[in-house]
Amino acid sequence: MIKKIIINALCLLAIVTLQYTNVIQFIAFKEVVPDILFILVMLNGIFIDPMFAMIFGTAGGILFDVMGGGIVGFNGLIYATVGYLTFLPQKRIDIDNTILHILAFILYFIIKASVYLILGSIFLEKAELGDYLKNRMLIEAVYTLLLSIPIFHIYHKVCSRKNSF
Amino acid sequence: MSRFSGFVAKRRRGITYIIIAIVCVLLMLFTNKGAVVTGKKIIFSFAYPFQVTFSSIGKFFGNTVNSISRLKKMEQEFKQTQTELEQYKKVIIDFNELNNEITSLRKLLDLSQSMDYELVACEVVGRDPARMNETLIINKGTVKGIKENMPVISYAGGKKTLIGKISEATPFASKVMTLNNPQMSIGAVIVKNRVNCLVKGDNDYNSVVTLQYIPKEYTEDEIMDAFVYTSGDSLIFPKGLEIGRITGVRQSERFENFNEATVRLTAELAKVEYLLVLKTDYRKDDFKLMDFPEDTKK
Repeated sequence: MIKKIIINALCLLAIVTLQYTNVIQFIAFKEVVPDILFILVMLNGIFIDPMFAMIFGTAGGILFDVMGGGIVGFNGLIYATVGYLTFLPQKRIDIDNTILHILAFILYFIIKASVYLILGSIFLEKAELGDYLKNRMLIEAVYTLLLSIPIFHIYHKVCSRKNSF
Repeated sequence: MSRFSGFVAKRRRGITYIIIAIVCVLLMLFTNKGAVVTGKKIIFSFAYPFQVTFSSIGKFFGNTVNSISRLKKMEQEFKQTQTELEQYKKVIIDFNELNNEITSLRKLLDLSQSMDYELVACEVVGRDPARMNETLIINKGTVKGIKENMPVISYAGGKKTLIGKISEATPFASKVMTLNNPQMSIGAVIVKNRVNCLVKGDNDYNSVVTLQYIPKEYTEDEIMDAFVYTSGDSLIFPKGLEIGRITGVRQSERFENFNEATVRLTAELAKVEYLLVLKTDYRKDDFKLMDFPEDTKK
């Protein structure tokens, strides 16, 4: 478990570093970058533990907020909610192929967007919220989905190998 | 205690999520200055219903007090408006009177232009309604050339009608003896039949005189509604001034061979306001200058 935490913590630092340096801008499409933290939270929840995903999401989100100078706790709550709700398919569906992953991704992205909209309507300016809805949300969803597929396969491989032990 | 521990253990994930959510919300509330929702706003949200209630009560009392003061103000405004309205009414009345006056004066002016004699326009300034307007007092006198026995006419129904004659002239006012005066006698003619008669003043009825010496053969059927004009036989009144219309014929009480008629004067003596004095001199003037108008039927 400590190993998992350390690996995820390192991943988190890497993502934050990427996100808030110019490095990730190279892969930006129309100034929209993929939400890597979302992918990790979702896959952590599905493959490891929703509780772990929730804490990971909270920490990552708050780190994002602190680093980005935004509203502290805003992203924390969004990713915590996504992480918390990853318990939904647990023990019912075994997400082991790309199609199920895509379906799960769509579900959690809708959850993420909904929480963003709810919190955004309370805490964000209307212009910012409108910009996200009009210009960023769809591109971000597609871009993140595309990026999540290889990461899903890596997670799937690593986790299934561990389980086989 | 064990039950509580069991409850917490069972719902560990949910409780953790709630704690995280509360922490995040608190962080959002207290770390973001530009947030739409702040601690202040939340407190305000809770206080709002009470605030509304207090505000409503305050407004109610405030409005009541305001209403009373406004009512007083409105009352004052109403009184002021009423006074103004009265003033406007007076102005309208004055305007109408002026209008009537202008119309009368214009008619007089028209008349004076159509007459062959020099005329003096004057205003009636005194009368005696109790004596059927036997006498009128006008505001012009000898200063304006008015002398005794000058005929006085007015303009009624588009015609020159006889009113009477000057009975007394002073420098600035004169007395007019009207046709209603019993002392008045005028040579007249029934235009329809060219019958010469005599108009005698009568003060039994207002604006009604008696036509005397109508030959017996002129019965009611013949002369009823006929117009009576001055004949020009007298030394005072020129020929062709309208006196009135015959409204009734009867047998004369004094003379068997004559009838008498009641003549309704064309000019309503009770209403005349402006008059014209004809500056005639009965010693010099030839009254044949004026002709009878053609007989006017009903």
